Amino acid sequence: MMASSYNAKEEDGHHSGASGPGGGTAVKSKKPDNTAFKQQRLPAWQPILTAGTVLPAFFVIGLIFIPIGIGLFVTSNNIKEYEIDYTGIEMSSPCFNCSQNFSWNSTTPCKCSVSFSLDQPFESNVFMYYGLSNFYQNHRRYVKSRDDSQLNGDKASLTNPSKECEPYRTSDKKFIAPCGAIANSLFNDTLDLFFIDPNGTRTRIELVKKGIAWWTDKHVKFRNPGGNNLNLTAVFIDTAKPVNWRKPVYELDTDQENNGFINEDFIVWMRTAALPTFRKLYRIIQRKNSMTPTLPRGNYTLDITYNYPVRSFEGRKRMILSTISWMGGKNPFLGIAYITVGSVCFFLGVVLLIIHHKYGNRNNSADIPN
Amino acid sequence: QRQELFNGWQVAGTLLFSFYTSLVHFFLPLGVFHYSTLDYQTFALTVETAVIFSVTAEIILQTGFWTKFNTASLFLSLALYFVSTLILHSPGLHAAAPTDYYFPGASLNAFGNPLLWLTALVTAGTAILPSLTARAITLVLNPSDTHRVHSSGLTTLPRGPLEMQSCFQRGDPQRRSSYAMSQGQGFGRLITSGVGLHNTAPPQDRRESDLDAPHKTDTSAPMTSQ
Repeated sequence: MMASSYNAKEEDGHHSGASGPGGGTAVKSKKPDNTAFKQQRLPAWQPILTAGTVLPAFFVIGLIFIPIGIGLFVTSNNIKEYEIDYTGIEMSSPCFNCSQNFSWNSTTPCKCSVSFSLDQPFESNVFMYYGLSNFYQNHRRYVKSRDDSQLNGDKASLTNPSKECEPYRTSDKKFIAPCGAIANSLFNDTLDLFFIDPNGTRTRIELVKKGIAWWTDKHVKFRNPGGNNLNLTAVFIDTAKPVNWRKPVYELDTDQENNGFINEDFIVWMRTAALPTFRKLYRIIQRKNSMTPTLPRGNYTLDITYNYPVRSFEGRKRMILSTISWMGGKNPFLGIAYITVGSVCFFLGVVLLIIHHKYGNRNNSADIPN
Repeated sequence: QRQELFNGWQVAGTLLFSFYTSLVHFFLPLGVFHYSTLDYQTFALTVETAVIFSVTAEIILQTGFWTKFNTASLFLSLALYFVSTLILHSPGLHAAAPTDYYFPGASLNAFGNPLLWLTALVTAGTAILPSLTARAITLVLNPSDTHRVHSSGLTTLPRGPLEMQSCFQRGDPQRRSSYAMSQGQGFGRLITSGVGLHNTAPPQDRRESDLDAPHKTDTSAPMTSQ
């Protein structure tokens, strides 16, 4: 063991001073400092990995993922969901006439009714979604076709929207508000739900249209131009309605909190979906109290005002009723994914254990006897 | 010269692994989002978070020596990701330039949704599975002998593969790296003075991993500055 602890820095300085040609003490040494960081002597933890430490890692991962997957799968299976496709392509469907006779200029909207029955009561809040298939809301040109400053209430953008909105930027020599292809293709079917009593009376089920959009969307991203001016007709006076809309944007709802750009159905539609088959929140059926189920077992009727054409792109329209849990709606895929990955990991652990016993020990035992 | 780090097999293996990782990172969130009402921006955030988790896990697997700088940079990078996502998605930036920062509120809404975290976790776990398996296989087939019993002192243990242990000892006052030695007079003095020759006993579990440097013995004479 070293008896004297010497000062390494001093020794270096001494060496270089003695060996330098002129012995110039004024020459600054270019050597890096003898600190732990610069001389790469930092204390470090080096995990020594052996088979005994790595193999249990596989089993641990497997044992963590599999119960999570089972829990998710069970939770998802307990969520009740009911789906109705009301596109009306088949001749036997109640909405067949409406789907065939579509035209943009029709003044009287086409109505149809679909009857269904629920075998199980739906408890707690029930969420009503509309779903579309084969509708590519994630197409790049479509996603870019909007003007966010106009939707944010900027007065300058109201009468001069961005070029990205072309060709839905002007109509009849006036600028469109809200401009763009996303706004133009707003989903405008109306769905109404009625409960049929055993003795035949129809009770309308109350559908809540507030609280379906994100809070940040409704209060931050989308603002009506003109600030708190409640006379939206005057605010939008020099603009035109989007080409495919029946009513202009300031007539979307009689409630002024839900009118104009901050209409929640409009906001929900403008939040573009990720996949071609998607569903968006339409209404919420709130639970009455903890004793009665929100949607009891029985017969129901869905009254549809069929406005939205999907035949041209071979899409389909659906209405979905669903209860939700902490993980959202019914999602069997996540539970299955966790179970699969967990079992693959477990299986790999077992395989590695077998390999370790067969081949690893052979390597070890060769060295010990000399 | 032996092309150990960059050869045809290596490139092919890396390509295959990255192809697999990209597929996993897309299709697993795709499967989850097929059944949900979540939107396009949440999907993007989920894939981003999954990628960050996978890359962090790979870095953890590859780090051999954990200094405090390694640990700090790991936590810093994760923290920076979340902080920068929240900043870029803040309403303030959106108000300043709505066409550039059109993700307001996306991260707040998405990070509060447990589906995002669960999806990111399973995607990251699936993505690092091949690399974890490859490491485990090399470990199982070529076990390092570090945990074998070493007798201390002067027993007749043969030299050789038994002593290939890292001697990165902490708190050693005489420890100097070969770089530091080369800044001074170097090893010439030590070798020619025969300091190391006096001690022929096997060193106690300490040997330089750098085979060019002479042995640092612990019973040698004190290094004197000549």
